[in-house]
Amino acid sequence: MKLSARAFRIQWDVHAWVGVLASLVLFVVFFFGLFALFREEIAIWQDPRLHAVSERRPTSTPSYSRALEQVAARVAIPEAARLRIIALEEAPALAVTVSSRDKRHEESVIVDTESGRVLEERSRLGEELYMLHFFYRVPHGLEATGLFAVALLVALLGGVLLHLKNLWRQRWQFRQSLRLRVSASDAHKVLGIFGLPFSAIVAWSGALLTLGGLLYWAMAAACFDGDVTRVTELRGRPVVVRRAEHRPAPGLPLDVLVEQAKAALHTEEPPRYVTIDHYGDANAFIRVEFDAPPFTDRSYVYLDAVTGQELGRAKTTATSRFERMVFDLHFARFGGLLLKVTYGLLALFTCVVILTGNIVWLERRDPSRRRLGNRLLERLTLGFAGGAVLGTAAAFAANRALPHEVWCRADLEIGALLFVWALTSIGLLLVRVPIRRALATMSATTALLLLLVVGHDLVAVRTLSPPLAAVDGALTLLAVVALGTAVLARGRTRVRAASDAAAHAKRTRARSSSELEVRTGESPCALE
Amino acid sequence: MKPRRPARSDDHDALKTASAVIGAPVVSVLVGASLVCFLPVARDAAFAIGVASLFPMWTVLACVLPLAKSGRSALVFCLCLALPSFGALVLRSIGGSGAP
Repeated sequence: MKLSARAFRIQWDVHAWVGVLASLVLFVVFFFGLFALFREEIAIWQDPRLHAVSERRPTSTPSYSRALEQVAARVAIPEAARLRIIALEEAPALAVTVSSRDKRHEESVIVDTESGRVLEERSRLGEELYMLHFFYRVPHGLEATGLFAVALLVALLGGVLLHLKNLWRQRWQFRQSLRLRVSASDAHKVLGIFGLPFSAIVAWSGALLTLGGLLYWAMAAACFDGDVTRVTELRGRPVVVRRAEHRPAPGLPLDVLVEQAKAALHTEEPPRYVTIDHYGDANAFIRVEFDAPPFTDRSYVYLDAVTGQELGRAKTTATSRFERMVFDLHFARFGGLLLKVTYGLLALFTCVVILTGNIVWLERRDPSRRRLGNRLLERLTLGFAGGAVLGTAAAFAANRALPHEVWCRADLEIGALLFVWALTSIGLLLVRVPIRRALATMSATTALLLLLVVGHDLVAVRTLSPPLAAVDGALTLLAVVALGTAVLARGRTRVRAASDAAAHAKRTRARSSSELEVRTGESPCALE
Repeated sequence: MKPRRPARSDDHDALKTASAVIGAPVVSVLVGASLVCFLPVARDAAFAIGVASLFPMWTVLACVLPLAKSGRSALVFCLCLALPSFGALVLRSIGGSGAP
């Protein structure tokens, strides 16, 4: 199939403009998506006290009542608070978060269920990197990420339409030795074609996950006269709405409620998530959720925390199965570690596709960067994208370098990321440094920081348990990519310097020969 | 006389861009909602189909609408899809068939 010249021209513009406008946000989404895949593993990696714990595997259902007693002895639980308890997949430990009713106060601890130790939070690196994947901390960042996911779908479809006539030939064509415009365009197409199924799936599922709330509201308005509970029922979710009575009442022991939930759902598996709302109140209720194999529904049940009466449970509907499939597809929860590594590689490929897209834009439209907009784009692309990578490396290095007892340690780690990211982005906009040299320096610094972190782990950690090995492996991969970028940028700088010197020599020769011509009145050839 | 070859600036006018940016999501939500309401399958399956098809529809429209001859034809194309869906949804709401 071949597009007409006009259709080709229009699609080209749509692809280029949508791509360039969404490029920086999409780069951040895909880059932090790499860490979102390894969120559970980073939760273990970030806290050295959990390294020894992670060498043991969870064997039986832990005592939730005992864990709650230990947390209550350590943390002041406010009135009618919300407690979230997550059983870690990689270690026999429970991550407990206590939030006040107004959500202003939040405290997290980890309970080692075998030794009974309560470990206060030292790092939130995994969680914060995960949230950067969809700009959760930015107001309406979630919905904005969804819109950018749609932009990616448009750019992908546009790209396929543009190259459909010679897609097969272009899948291997990489002419590295040619000009930057050609080599960047080849890299854009080769990696784009290879990553196409992945990019399409994660963009579609990401749009559904992030814009789902708005979408369900619109569907309720259009189909059910604004009745949102109808949509909730179609999604197989029970509607449990209870307000705090502000009257204290002793609740049933947590272990009794968990056993009751297991009996209600006919399972012997330990629960994955336990959430208590209005803790200590007469209207307190609990949600007990169990994990399920990929592409099957998670089962959960709501119980009254005081009487133990069942308040509702999840039902399997076509929509609930569909939602589960979308989630598992997006977060690679169906193929083990190998699939996660593949997703991670493809996410890095997509980052390269995004950056090479911007290079193609710049090299085709304004190779000498005469326009201010293109100069800004070049510096923003390097500063914003490179800053995100360098900042992440700084955060990982801060995790290993900061003393354990330092004040606000978890905040300092994420502060290091944001500070380096902002500094690089703004610095490259304001300071006139050669762009290739800046790229080489930033990439080399990133590689050095990451290799220091991995080197530290190899020396300091006794045995590398699977979560540690996964995270250190991902960091090594990132360091290798950064090192490769630094070498490439340095090479390009040298080539550029050599070509500049050659051009300069040519100009000097031409000038001297013309001067000679003026002096003798003859051409240099004639003189020879 | 040979017809004038359209200038590159004719490829993108404001109405056409607005149709692609605003019209595409509105049309896809309306058509998706119509699928939920009128597909002759179980309601939960229809809901899943309507939701699943929304973003592909949005994407295709955002790519196809800029190819229209002019902004006006892009708008007419949007209205041709949106108005029947909207009308059917309104009639259904008045008729009360949205009740459980």
